[in-house]
Amino acid sequence: MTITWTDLSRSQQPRDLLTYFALNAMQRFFEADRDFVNETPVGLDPVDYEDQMWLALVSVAKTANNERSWSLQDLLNKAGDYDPPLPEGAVIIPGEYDLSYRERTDLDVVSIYAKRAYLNAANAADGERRLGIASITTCAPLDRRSLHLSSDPFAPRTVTQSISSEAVVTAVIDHGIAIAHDLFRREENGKLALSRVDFFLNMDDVSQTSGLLQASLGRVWTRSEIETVLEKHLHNGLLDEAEVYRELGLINWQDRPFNSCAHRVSHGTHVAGLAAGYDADEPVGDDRRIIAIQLPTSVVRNTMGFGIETTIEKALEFVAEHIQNYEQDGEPVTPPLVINFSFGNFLGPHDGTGVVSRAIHAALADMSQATNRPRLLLLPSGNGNLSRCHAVIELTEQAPEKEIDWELQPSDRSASVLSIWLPLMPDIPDAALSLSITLPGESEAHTITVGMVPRFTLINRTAPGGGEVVIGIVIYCPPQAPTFRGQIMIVALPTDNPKDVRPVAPFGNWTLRFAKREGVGPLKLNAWVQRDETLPGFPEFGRQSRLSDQNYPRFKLPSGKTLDEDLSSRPSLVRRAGMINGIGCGTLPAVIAGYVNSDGKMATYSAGGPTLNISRLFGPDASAVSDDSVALHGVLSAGSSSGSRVSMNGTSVSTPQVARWAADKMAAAPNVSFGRADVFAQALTDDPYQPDKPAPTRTGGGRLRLPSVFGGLR
Amino acid sequence: MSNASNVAPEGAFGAFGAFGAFSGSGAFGAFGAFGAPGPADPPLISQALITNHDGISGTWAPVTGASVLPNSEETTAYLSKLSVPVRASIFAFELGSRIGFGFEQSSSASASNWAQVYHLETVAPPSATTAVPHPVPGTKYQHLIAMRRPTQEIFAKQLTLVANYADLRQDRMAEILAQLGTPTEFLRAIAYIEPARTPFTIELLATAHWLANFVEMRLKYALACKRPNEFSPQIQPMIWTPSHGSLPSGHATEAFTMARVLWALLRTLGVKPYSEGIWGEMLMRQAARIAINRTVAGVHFPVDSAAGAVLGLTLGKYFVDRCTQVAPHTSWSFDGRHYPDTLDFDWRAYFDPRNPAIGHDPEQKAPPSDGQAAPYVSKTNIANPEQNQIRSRPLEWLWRMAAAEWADLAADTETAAVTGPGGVSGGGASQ
Repeated sequence: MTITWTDLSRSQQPRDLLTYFALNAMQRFFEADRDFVNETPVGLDPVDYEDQMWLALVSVAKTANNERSWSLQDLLNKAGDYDPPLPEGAVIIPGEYDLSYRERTDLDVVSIYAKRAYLNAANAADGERRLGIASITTCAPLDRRSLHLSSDPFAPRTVTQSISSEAVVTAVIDHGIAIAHDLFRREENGKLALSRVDFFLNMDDVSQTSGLLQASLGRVWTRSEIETVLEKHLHNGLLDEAEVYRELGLINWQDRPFNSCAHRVSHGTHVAGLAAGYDADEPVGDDRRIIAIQLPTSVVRNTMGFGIETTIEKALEFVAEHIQNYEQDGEPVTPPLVINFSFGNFLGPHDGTGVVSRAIHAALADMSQATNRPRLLLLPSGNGNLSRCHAVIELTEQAPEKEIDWELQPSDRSASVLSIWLPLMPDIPDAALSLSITLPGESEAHTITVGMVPRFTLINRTAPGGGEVVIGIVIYCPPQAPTFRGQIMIVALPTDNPKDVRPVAPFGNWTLRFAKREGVGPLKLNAWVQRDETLPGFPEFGRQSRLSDQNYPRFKLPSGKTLDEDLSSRPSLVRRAGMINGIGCGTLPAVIAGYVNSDGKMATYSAGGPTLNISRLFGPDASAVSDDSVALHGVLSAGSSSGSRVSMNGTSVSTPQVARWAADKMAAAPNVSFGRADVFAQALTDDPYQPDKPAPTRTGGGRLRLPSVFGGLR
Repeated sequence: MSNASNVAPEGAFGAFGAFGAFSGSGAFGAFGAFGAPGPADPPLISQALITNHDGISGTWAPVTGASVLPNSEETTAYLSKLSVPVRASIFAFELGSRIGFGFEQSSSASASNWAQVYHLETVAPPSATTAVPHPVPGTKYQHLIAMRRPTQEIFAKQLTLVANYADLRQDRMAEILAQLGTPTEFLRAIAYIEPARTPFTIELLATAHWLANFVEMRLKYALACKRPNEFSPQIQPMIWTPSHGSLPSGHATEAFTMARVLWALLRTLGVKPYSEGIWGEMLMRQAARIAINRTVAGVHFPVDSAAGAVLGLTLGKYFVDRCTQVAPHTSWSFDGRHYPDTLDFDWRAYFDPRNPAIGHDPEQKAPPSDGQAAPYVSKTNIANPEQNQIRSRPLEWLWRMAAAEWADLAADTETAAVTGPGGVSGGGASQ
């Protein structure tokens, strides 16, 4: 099998590599995964790949005179005028954007549903001019049954929830939230008194218009509807949860091979239990209301192995809309709000300028502007500390060349992505840097050079029967707004396909040799490998690729204990430092790391900074318990079934404990602003300086001393 | 190969073998016998008894017939002197000899055929005459359960559910493997069953288990439904696929039979709190969990569980009727051809525990029909059940002994007067 490298000319180059790659190169992997081409699986309509609808996070371009952005209506008009014509329904503006929003001309990031033809057109070199899309991010086709395929705005309908002055709303954006768990309802005298979930957006549910509120993706359940479902399935004082989740669309074995809430442990239930779970007979539950958002399974478990964060904009928009639908004594109020999003990835510029970070920032800024009530979004610092997915490559006059291996695993059914950022440099001299890539089993390297010219190179492999298959792509993007740093990115197909025998990416070491041109100043490159592992509880498919440097020690000698800090005595290109959640580098969210309660040490997996965002240099703001002890991993919280408690670990579980604490703080002072700085300050108070305090890059202000929510006895 | 004995994977049959697994707990161990010889006599003891006999028995002293009284004939008092395996054979005869089977061959090649299970009513024969010195009893077969298998199209649609349920295999592995044995292990987690405390309850459940297996195997044989792994090479069950047919599910049949029998037993004496609906909820949830786990494992379609649940609930009621002198008076049918092809299994469609504690008796039911489609489960009342049919005194005895094990030790029990093997009239509980 021969490898060939093909450069695309400027006019042929798509603008966003990952979007191009997901839409096109990954086609046969999505098809194998969803099985929608060669056969029609029982129970599924035959669907053409071209007909798949993708959720895309797009930033809207500015008009020619740069005075304003295009409006959503402009985007639709542009799509309608496109020549050659795009297929019918190629782009859908979600119905949640109301008429006034559609006229807005100060847009940055919005979400749309679109077919491949539109997305490829928008992603083409002339996409900004012709379709008004400045940038685009997408990752996986959605389940069509959950989509409301119309661009008409929904008729304005509101459902208002009545609360007391002490009420705080906690929004949990997650996957697998068993909202019927008894920790999320109030009971009095053994009878259901209240579903504490006021609004539930189930992005997995089949789209339908029979509910009180409409959604473009999935279905909205409001408190009264949830209570009706709960009442209906209470038999002899017990909730028949199998029936409840069937009705709420959370368990559906006919349509989905993965049903998180049917498992003993579900991520969202555990997280929501820590953030907002109270025993059903605890009165405080009346004042801790929940907005829950179940993210779509098809996106969470997609063959790119990442991309769930593309759904965050839709989720935050749902929160922003419904936080306004509260009243107190008949008067409208917007209660204090805590948002927990226990997800993350590794990629991104790590300076807060990535598209997801910007979407989060915009949503939070919008929400805060609209009210003086406290709002706080919490994100985990991530579990990638030991993943070997970050390298810092410093090229100097003395050492102008460095080599590093990128190890792709065999039988990896998810795509692998490596991103290398140049330093902040508005202007890069021509051929300042070169990168030579040698694929496993190949003797010849291919070299690309870096300057102010974008490059887009396809890596092709000859199929046994002839014909070429794209198995990977290398690109270079010169610095541009808002990040102003050059970026090299390499994407590779999965190394395995369950059905299609055509070439896949070769597993093994992809050797990368960086060389700085003489005369160019020192260059400090930051490389991150995208997280593409299978999420806990999901069927195995992705295997994490990583960076490899023989100077990277994994264990302490002679004890053999895991080393969870980089050794200054033995500098390696591969670093633990800087493995922080790629979407946790913005300025507004509070980012939480995890520590082990028994010995006070940071959890070995808990990722840290530094970041490249000047207002978040350390990385996390604080840490909370993510493991009860070195022997008892994780902390206890809700299992999927009422009454059950299970343990789960990771910064996913330290984060919601801080959300719970923040909700109490806000309830005590609902008119006082509360933000990331307050979390940091509390951490400093809880964990004053002493010699063995973990570094601020791991723990931020320090280790929060929060009461254990469900106890540590097990 | 773990199948070397050709017993372990056989699902329901394996469950019988699995009584042996109870051998650590005494009372259960004996069930392992089921017709096999009892524990072998140790050669050392036999040898010793031979020489010992020679040494002490002395000269033979003849005896007369009058010196020993004959046993009473056909008396349940005898049962308590018999070993458990011997009694099991008697109970099996009492149950099995009243079950009939028929298969209605259709003349039309396209039509699927009904398998029929009957209850045999027998009435005492007329008095003997010289002409007919040994008159036979009057007999009449009544419908008990009728079953027709689903079409291949329905099974094929059901296969998607089977494929998707595989997601839970990791979660359920311990349960699936443990449930290769008897459902008693899982029912005993709910009711306070323990070999020393409730030996007759265990025996009663084993007897109900026998009935379920006896009937379900005949139905499986007649209906000969292919297993999921015969439809697709991608199902790949995590346990041996049993050699017998897929529908009805034996695990579902047995678990629902036993769950229904057990709840009726617990309620016989009116002891608190067993009439609370939650006890029925739990027993049915347990049976459903066992049934669903077989789909998770990849050896059953959900429709198999539905058929098994209907069959098991019917047999559970029938068994209690036989044990409590009630003439069986309802029959049920399961028409697989009308089963909605993508329908998952939900036990609540077939049984409502309601709350007997407040006078709401449990109810076996047919799922609501959506209007157009013909119902796939239906109930028929037997027009004139023979009220004088011959009762099974051994089965009544067993029920009485088991029911007495659930007498309350509380001082204020209303039922204190009727506790004890002799005092229970039985038959009071509705199912």
